[in-house]
Amino acid sequence: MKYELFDIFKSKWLIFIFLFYSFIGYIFSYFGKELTRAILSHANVSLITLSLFSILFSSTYIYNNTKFIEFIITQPVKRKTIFISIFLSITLSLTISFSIGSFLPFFYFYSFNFNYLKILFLNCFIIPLFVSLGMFLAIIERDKLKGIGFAILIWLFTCALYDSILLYITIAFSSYPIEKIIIFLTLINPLDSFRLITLMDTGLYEIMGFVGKWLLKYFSNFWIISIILSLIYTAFFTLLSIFIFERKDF
Amino acid sequence: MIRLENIYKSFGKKTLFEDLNVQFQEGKLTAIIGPNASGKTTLVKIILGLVIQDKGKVFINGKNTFKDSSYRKLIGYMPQIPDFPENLTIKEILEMVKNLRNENLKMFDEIIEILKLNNELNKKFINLSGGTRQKVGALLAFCFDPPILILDEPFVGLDILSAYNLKSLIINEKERGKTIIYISHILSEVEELADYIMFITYGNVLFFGSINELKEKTKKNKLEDAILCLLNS
Repeated sequence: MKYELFDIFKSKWLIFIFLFYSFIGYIFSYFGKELTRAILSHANVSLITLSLFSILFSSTYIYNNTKFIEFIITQPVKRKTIFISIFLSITLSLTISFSIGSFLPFFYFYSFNFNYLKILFLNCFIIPLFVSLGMFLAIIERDKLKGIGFAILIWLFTCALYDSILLYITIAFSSYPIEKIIIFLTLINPLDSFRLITLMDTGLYEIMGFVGKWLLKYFSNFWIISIILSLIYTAFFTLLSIFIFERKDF
Repeated sequence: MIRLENIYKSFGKKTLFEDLNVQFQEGKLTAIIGPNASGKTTLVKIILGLVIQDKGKVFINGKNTFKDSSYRKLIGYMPQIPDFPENLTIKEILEMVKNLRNENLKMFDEIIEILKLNNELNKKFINLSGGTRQKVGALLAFCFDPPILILDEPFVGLDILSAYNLKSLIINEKERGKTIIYISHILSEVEELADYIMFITYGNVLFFGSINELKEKTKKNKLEDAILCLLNS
């Protein structure tokens, strides 16, 4: 794992991610003029981009290092250990790159503040989830082009298509009592649930109307549920990937 | 000694090995030869644990290798196209494999000298030429002094001097009693190095024995003719 981390830290991707979040953090803090706005804008961009970077970086890493992974399997190491160290190396390096890159501009403008630290901390949970998804895709699909295509499709689905489908259901079945189902469907998409937390945390739950009021009433500690939910998804895809990886022919 | 017992392997609907039984002699160099897509690399990959057989067992020194990774400490593997994380230097790659195997580099100085890698050790893998990458593969296979060597077309991409030096190293290791499995398409090399030949076509072993036995069997004086005779029979 140590050497995979060495390799990843030297990659241009990580430097790009670090600079990207430093830049948007700086821009939002500078132009937003107040912390709430800066956090909200930064979190909105982070949710969309961090999931994309994580799923693309992890799947590309597996595709580009297939021969190396093959070599490691010929050494006296268990396949499960190999998979877990790659997963942890990618997750850890992306998390460090994102959190330091985002922390520095906020610290520069607002010094230490629990509000932005909490949102940055929550956004970090996007990384293992999308890394596990990216690795899962790269393991089940041998063709790099198809694998990356699927990765973009899944990202697009969780980011935009899912919300569009929910909107369609809401409009199509507006005369039925579907509120609870819609809330449930919103909450089970990790990106949506993290977006809700950010809105609630910055005191903007009113703009969500009914859902916001409902969440505030019943789920004051909603962020814990979102973290647990994203960890369950991560564990599911990681375990499934390990199961396939242990039986895969190279 | 390496023994494969009742090996079955299919890829989708295509069956490659059906009840394959092979035994590689200890302290001997066995060359695996055969046409493209005949199953040479898959056979080696089954021994290495890269491809998992549908049925059957692989024994290394009498021990079943199923669900066991420790036996790979006995093997030095030189892949056809070595590939490592591009941002690591040769030194870092060596250090990594050393940690993975949890053993010391036993033949480091000797191999570095033979392969002329002294000036390349601090270069990143991405900046190495194809031939030097091949040498890194050889270095990792030999430097832990394992009793079994598996070499997949080891001379491809090497310059004349490096190929000569590597050949001398292989002969030397054979004389030291190592079991060597070696895949090649170059028959002159095979004739020079191999004690035994395993000729394989589409998962079937057509011949396993010494070069002289093959020549006697086919009544040919040249290895090339003998192989062609086997193919046509």
